[in-house]
Amino acid sequence: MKLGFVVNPVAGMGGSVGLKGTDGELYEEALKRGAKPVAPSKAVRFLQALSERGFKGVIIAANSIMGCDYLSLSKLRFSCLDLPDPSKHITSREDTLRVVKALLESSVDLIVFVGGDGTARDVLSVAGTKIPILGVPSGVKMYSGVFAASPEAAAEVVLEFEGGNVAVDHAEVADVDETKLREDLLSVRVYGYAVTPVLEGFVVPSKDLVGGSEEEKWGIAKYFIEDYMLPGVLYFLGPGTTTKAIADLLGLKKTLLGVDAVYEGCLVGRDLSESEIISLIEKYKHASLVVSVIGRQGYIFGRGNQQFSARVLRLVKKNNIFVLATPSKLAGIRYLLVDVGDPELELELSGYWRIITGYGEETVKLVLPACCVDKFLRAGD
Amino acid sequence: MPHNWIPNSSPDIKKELMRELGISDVLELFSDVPAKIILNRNLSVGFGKPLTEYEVRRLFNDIISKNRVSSIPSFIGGGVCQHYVPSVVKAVMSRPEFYTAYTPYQAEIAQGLLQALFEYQSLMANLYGVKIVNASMYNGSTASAEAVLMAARVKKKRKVLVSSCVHPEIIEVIKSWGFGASLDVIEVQADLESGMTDLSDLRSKLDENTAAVFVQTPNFFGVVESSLKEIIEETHKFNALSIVYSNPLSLGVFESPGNLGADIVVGDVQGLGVSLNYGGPSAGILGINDDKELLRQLPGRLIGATRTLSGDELGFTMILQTREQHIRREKATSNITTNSSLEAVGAAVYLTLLGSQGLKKLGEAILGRTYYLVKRLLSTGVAEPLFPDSIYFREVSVKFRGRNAEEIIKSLSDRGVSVGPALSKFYEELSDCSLVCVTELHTRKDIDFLIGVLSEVLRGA
Amino acid sequence: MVFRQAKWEEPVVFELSDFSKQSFLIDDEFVNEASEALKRIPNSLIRSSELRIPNLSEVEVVRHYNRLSQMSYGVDVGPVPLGSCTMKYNPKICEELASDPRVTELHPYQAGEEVQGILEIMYLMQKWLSEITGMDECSLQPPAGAAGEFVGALIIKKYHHDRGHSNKNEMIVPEAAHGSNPASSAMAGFKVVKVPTAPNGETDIEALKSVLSDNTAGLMLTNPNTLGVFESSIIEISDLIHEKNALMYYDGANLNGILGVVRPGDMGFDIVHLNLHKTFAAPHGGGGPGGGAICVKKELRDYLPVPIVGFDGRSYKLRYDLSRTIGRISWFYGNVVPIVKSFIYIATLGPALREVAEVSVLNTNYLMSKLRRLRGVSLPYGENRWRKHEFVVSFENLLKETGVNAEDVAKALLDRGFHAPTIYFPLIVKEAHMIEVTETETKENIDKIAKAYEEIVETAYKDPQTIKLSPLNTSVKRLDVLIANHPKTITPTYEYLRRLGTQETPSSQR
Repeated sequence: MKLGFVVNPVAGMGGSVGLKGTDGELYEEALKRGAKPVAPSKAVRFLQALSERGFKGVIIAANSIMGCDYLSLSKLRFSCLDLPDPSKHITSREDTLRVVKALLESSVDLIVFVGGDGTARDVLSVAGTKIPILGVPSGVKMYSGVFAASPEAAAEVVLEFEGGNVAVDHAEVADVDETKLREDLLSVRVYGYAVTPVLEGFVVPSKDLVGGSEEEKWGIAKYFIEDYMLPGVLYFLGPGTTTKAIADLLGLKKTLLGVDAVYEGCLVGRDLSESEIISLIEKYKHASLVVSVIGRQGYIFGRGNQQFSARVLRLVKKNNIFVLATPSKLAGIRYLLVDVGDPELELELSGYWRIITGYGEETVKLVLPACCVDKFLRAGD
Repeated sequence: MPHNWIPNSSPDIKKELMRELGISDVLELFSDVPAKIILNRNLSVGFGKPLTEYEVRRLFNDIISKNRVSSIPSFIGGGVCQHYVPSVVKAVMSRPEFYTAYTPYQAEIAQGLLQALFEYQSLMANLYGVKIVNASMYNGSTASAEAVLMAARVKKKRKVLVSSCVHPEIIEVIKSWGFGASLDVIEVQADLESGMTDLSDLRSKLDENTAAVFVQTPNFFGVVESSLKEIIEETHKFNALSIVYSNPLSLGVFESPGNLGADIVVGDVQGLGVSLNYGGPSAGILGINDDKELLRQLPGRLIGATRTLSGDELGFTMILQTREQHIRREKATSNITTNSSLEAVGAAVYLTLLGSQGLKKLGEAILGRTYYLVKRLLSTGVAEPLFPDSIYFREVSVKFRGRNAEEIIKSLSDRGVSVGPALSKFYEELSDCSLVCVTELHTRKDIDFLIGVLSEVLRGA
Repeated sequence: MVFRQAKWEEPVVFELSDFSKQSFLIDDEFVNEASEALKRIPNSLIRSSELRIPNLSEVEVVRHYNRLSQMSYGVDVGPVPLGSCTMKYNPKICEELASDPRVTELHPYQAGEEVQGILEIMYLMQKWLSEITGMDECSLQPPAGAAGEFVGALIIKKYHHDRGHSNKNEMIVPEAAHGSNPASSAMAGFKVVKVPTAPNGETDIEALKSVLSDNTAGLMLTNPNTLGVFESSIIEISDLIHEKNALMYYDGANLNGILGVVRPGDMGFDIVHLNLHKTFAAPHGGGGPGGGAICVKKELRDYLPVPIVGFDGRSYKLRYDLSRTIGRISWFYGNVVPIVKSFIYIATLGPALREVAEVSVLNTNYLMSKLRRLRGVSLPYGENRWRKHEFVVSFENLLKETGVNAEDVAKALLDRGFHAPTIYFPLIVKEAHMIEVTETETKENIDKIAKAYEEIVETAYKDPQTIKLSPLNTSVKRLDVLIANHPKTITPTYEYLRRLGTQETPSSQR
């Protein structure tokens, strides 16, 4: 197996000194504040775990401080890309993009990157869904679903991938809206969807790269169309691959990242903004929202679908909101979250929800308000 | 009340365990049970007190001696018949490592059982002429129901055609199981002359909405469906799946359904080293001739060969467990877990004792006896086959010319000969008919004796 | 404890002989009649394709299977602490009596007068199982537990259908339930709604209340549940379900934890299925045959699968007169041999049946108290509660701290002569071991199991690689599950093996 490996040496430096990231000017600021690099130690931990667990493949790494430096101490087989030495300057996104392009050309089977959401976004922009990616968490911002829980956990996933015991699934790559950030407003966008390895139990490898979960999504979509969709109701389909499956089954071309509207089998709106959504609701009167669970933390509102703002949610009653998620998406998440910046509304929306998790199957999950999660947690939750 | 089968029920051991747990009464371990539902009396089951082994043996003997097993082998048919169970089969099925084992989830410690099941799958696949046979279903009737459900799932259609010549209880079972999946089970009429599936009725009912056509051969009436090839061809014209139920004991002589084009095959191992057991248990055979789409929907357990991780040895393990119920779920998939492994191993043992030649001889032995039975019935003029020109294997539908079959059966029984079942049990209009079964156990004398007694009864009042 | 499993490089039967050997098992008495008959059969129906069934001599057959059995493991060899499987000792008197020809040679279509003995046994079993479960009537027809569950789901479906409540199409099932529960419900055409488990190990009642509606058809529950925890609010739950005119279904897989102490009928359940090959000591047979039973309260009696055994004061009869029966779930009347074995079992124990639950619960909590103290082991969900007949520990911490996971620990147990418990189930516990020591285990054996775990955990912290290499003492070492399942290398029969060209079967390795 050929493993691509790239480290973003500056990722994660901002956190300890109170910065929200290390992109661009923030890096200078971080240095001024005395921040130390964080990514290298994560890289070393990952490689060590990989070696201990007996990884048999070969690693194609970026040269110098973006990869090879950390490999020389390990017993792993590796080769270094022939690129301009990044240690001679402050690394930037151009370096990351260059490395990922070279890795793709070397036909690696999987790319592991050490960094945060920003790095994930950069890797995705080159790799797209052509090849699975996996993040070793080392950033300040980590909303994306492509990260393992720890460097050691990442090593475990790589080993299972080597053994063929993993499925791959789409995962959101999120990023914080830079402009809003400066105004101190947290706004997470879904930047795009990458393909990432997902550890499951016994898995039958299948022909498509996204085997297992794909079938589950079809099941959910089919069930939703057959049992839930009614004529005379306008359906807003949120971002994600599960909601997209609904559109696919109806023969409609839906945007992957945006909110589209469907009325009686026809697409009546694409990539809608909050105000466009509100006008449509006023026009069609009966409206429902269909969303899926976003990110590792389990948000149903507030991450990646801010178009469904508090205003929109107040127009649509709770029983007209449908949540879809594959069982693997829900695995390990004890409760889901709503974050709409409106505590009263969040409280209204919290409670037990029925999540559609398969054909003819629903699972009850607790939804908590992001404003005051602690108040609702029971001992042991 | 301490008991030998519950070693720690001895009071001192109980006390010691309780001490370790820091409790003084076992009921403390049930403190989370609402007090009002805790039983404060003993269950009134059994015979009033715990019994010693010699007491229970005596008691059992008293009850079971009220059963009658006839001295000459039974001539009762109806899907199962009395066949020989070799002592080797009994011996192997009594090996404790086999019969006290659980399903072999921990493959490394269960290689023997897994290999035995792998051999069963391979033997049956060859016998039925198909690519893959699973590690068994409960019995032939449930295997049939699961085959029908599988076909409906794969074809995504609800209509299924079942020949009326199939065992009526199997048809009932298919309908019960199909209720949940809202299957539309339609029966294809029997040709009243031949006792076989009526081809023209089949043609009139087949359409693009048909998921599958289910036939049995030899069928419930004992008749060999000689148009089996045509039935399969017609089925395929409409892109439906052909499901054929065959008696494994006939396949030494008859062509296997898989080789005639069947997509799914079913059967039951009763008679292949498995006793009558008053109807159960046995093991159901389920096989498919496609290792792509049908394989993904094949219910039940499947054993596969593999190598050790170190690469140097062959081994066996359960495979494709993702088909099992805890992974994927479209409507009406199977829920089967425990099946009939032990019976399957018994069947495999018998097959290896017989070999190809032996199986052929067995088929011929049964065929020969059936032929002889029919000949003798006709020659004595007291009764005749219900379908005069058809070919019978093992079971013959016999018509007693206007006499009540149930009474005849009773009179025969009084004279020490067991025959049946009366067809009126299933078809009111056939009140003068019964099935008669002959197997390798019947000697010429036995059959002659049956004819003799039958003549007596039919000539008497 | 030193353990070395037998290891034979035992070839697959197809390699032990050729296919043309003569067989001396069958007589030649009717050879002439056979050839006459064959003349009348169309050629297309006569076998022309080759039959490749090997023919072994009797001694070879006996040796082959005995060697295979030596490479297997059952309760008669050592403990098999698989959770929810209740692998208890199978008493030999049950085996012997059930193999009596007056049981095995009975034809199901024999006249009633000839089979009074077996009918009496079945009738008594129906009665006894009703008493044990607190129900009113039972049918022994289901051939195993899952079939019983399917019957239960069908009964619920028909019950509502008959009352004109076809809107009642939702079955509530705990998230931690055994997979056959949602599968059986789906097979019966129900929507499945899964409710989570609360931190105390019981079904989350608030979550349950949130999904109860007029569309609720029933709730499928096992109590004690798959965590081994007793659902202490069961009466409240029953009331909630019944208020919605829905039915309570009891999965009897875990009955061993309450046998003789509590009864599902008294908890409010309307339908119960039982596993004769679990609770009632019939053997597992390496995966079957089993025996199921389905018991109901009297309001549902007419829905039972037919036939059941009735008694009119003088004789026993097969009864088909159940007016709303869901029909037949199988041909004939049930898996009679396991029924007889269970009959002998219950007859022998009689009132001592209560010891079953008392001791199995004592044994389990005893083992649990030892295991939970081990480093790297945790007891999630209600960690301060007693369990009943089984418990679930997590090796999540062991994995984080040493890299040794639940599967590795299981394989290491094999090396020490114990069958491993159920692993990776229930899904709500990470790196799970679901452990059930039945009442037939001695204190010494339980201590040995605890010691084995202790030793494995110690070794995991010192030298994890040793554990990850297990098993080493079983007939084969760890198997490659990937190539076993991969579409390109899948090998479900000998034909596939041949075609793979990997002719390195054990026999040719010499």
